[in-house]
Amino acid sequence: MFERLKRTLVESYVGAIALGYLLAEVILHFVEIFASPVAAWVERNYYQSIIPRTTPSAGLSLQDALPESERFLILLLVWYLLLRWLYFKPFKKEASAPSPNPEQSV
Amino acid sequence: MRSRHAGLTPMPANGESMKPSLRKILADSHIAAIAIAVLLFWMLSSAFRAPWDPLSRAADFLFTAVAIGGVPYIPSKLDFADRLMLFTTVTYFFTALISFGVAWLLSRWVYRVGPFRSLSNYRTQLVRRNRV
Repeated sequence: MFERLKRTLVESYVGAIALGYLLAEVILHFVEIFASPVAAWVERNYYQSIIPRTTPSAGLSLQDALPESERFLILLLVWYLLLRWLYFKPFKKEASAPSPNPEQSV
Repeated sequence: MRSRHAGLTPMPANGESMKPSLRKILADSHIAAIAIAVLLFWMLSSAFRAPWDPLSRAADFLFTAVAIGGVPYIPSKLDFADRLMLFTTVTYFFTALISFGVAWLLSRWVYRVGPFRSLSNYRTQLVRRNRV
């Protein structure tokens, strides 16, 4: 059953479209690991300029990168497993049933 | 000589079965082309959204000027909404830049050409394959 599902996903290009979209997501989540601490720091400074607080503003925090890191790792794992299943191994050859000979049936 | 066409990767000369590299799998399975297309679409989407707020603000200013027949009030300092608008514009602009940069890197790695040329080559290749 899985072999038929795999063949269908590959031959209908659904697998390629899904994996291509997932690859783009994975790459952008990787970029956001570095961008999110900077964005969070800018946001904190920005809101502290509007609403003054007594506590001093913290610098770049690695904790802000954790959600993006988790998303990146999970998506990368899913992408790699799907890629490995769909495209690393060639199809198994189907045991095709002998086609009926039209001359014999007449 | 290395093939410059998208998706065309050289085969081993002696016919031995080699374990395909990740680059070759991405090129042959169309995954890289789709990822490049998605990244370029996100780049265009962000690039169109980036100037949307400033342009709508400018249009608002112009319509007000026409309606009152004079120059509308211009505040001397940026307020909360103005800063938020600038922040959103800069964020969209950087998203567009990053999406294009990533698409360019992926395209250079997989097809050895830029993203637009790789997609153009890919289209030509698909049309040729469909005719055959």
